[in-house]
Amino acid sequence: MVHENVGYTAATSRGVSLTTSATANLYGSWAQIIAATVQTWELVHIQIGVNSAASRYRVDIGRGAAGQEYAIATGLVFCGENSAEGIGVQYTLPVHVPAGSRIAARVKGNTAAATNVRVSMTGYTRGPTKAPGYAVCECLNNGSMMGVVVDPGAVAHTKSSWVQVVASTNRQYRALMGVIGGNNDIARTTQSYQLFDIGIGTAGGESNILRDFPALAPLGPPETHIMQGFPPLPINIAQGSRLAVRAQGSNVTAGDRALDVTLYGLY
Amino acid sequence: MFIPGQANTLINPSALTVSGRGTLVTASATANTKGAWVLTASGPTYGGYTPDALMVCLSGASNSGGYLVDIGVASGAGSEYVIAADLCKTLYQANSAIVTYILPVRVPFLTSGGGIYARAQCTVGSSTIDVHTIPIHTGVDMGSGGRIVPFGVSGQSRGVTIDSGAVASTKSAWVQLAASSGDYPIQAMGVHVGSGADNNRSGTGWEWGIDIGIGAAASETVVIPNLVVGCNATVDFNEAQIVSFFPCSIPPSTRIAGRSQCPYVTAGDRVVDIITYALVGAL
Repeated sequence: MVHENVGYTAATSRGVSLTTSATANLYGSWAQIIAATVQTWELVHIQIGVNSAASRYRVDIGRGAAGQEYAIATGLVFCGENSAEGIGVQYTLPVHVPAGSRIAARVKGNTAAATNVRVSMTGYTRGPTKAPGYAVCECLNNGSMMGVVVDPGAVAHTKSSWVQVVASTNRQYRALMGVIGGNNDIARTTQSYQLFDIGIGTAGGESNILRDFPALAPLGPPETHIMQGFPPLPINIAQGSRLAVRAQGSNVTAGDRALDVTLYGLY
Repeated sequence: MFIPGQANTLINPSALTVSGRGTLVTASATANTKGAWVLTASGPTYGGYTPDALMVCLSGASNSGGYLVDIGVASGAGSEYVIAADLCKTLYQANSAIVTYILPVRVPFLTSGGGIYARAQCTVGSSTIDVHTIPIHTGVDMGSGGRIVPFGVSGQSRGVTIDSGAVASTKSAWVQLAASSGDYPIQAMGVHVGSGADNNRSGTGWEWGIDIGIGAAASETVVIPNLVVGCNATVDFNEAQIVSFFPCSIPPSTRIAGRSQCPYVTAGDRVVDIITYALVGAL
């Protein structure tokens, strides 16, 4: 067997229910996904969906005994602001999970009421590379429910100023992943084609590490469900690095042109 | 491994900064027939290293319908050969995002002045689509395989239709995507799930659990389990926004099939269409 599907309930066609805290922006309790994995995983495909209320969500995946969970993936974004029934998002992460691990997950949302999402996942005994999985996929800007808001500005097709994502990385990362969300804009009137740069360096001295990654801010609902980004890419990020982002877009309508960016480091 | 400061920035050579879009590729005037090859990238060279993965982003479709895009490489125009065939994007409502394929294939010729090319077909002749091709040199042997081969392509520039059936949350019968996988073993598979051309679903919060299986009819074994996709009231279907590849080990000449389940049973609304993409051996 090279795969192990956990958390999926065939009788409902859905994953394990995670409930947010009744306080906005605070994680709810950990919910067990599986008591013990059978295989050692090097790749995890995580599926998040069916939110019970309109909200921006962040999901952590952890392992360890109940009450002693530690996160192996933090702040996974689920853009569910536009309707009570979200359409889901998927993450494929090259993360190592030893056989016998208890897997749990928790969620936070930006509404001041307990709401829920569903999570299931499939572990694979090897990843897309022959290398073992990373230990952790760590969100670099999990302090806010939204990512860093990037406004391409009033001049079409011209890169904006750099916007800082993290002032100083806590550690060295071996790979970088990004998610581009809809900035909670549920009334966008003009579709926008956008190109994003990710930069590294001091303010005013940024150099590109990823240039012109495409994103699309579509017209009409579901502006916020649409989630785009780039997968874990093997980019060496030294400890103490400042990371920033900038964008250009075809839409110059104020209020409609901004998207939000969340970055993740893997180590 | 990209190391910042060593002039190996990961760039998108297909991006047109004057429009914020990718390279425009026009389908043949004949529906469901591939158009001409278009150069999408002629670099970067990454210091002489051959890229071992390729990101392909499809967006900006000009008409509603199904789109299939081939990605080719060549030392020059006129000698293209396909390294990834029939990458699908469906557009049955205006609300559609970019679909990104993460392809674990080597991309030859870039280091010697060659390029990456794309060609497209659509259910509506002469439709256009934006194509971004972003070569990646990972340095970690991401692309041990040679090309991406589709299984389950229908005549309507999308996948084979699968109906989850009239019994809620119960797997449908298996539907064959390919009688034989061909001459090469398969090292990894990705899945594109489309709307089944349904742009008028009645329900909200629908979720499908999709299996990909291999083996003779009635003896299928699941290789990709319970892949979850969904829709809501305003988006009749949300095709997977990032198509990743999952490891598997499938011998040559293997039958491939798919099936699905859904908690809702409204006839006509419960269909999806599926294409699987296989990473097969060296060129």
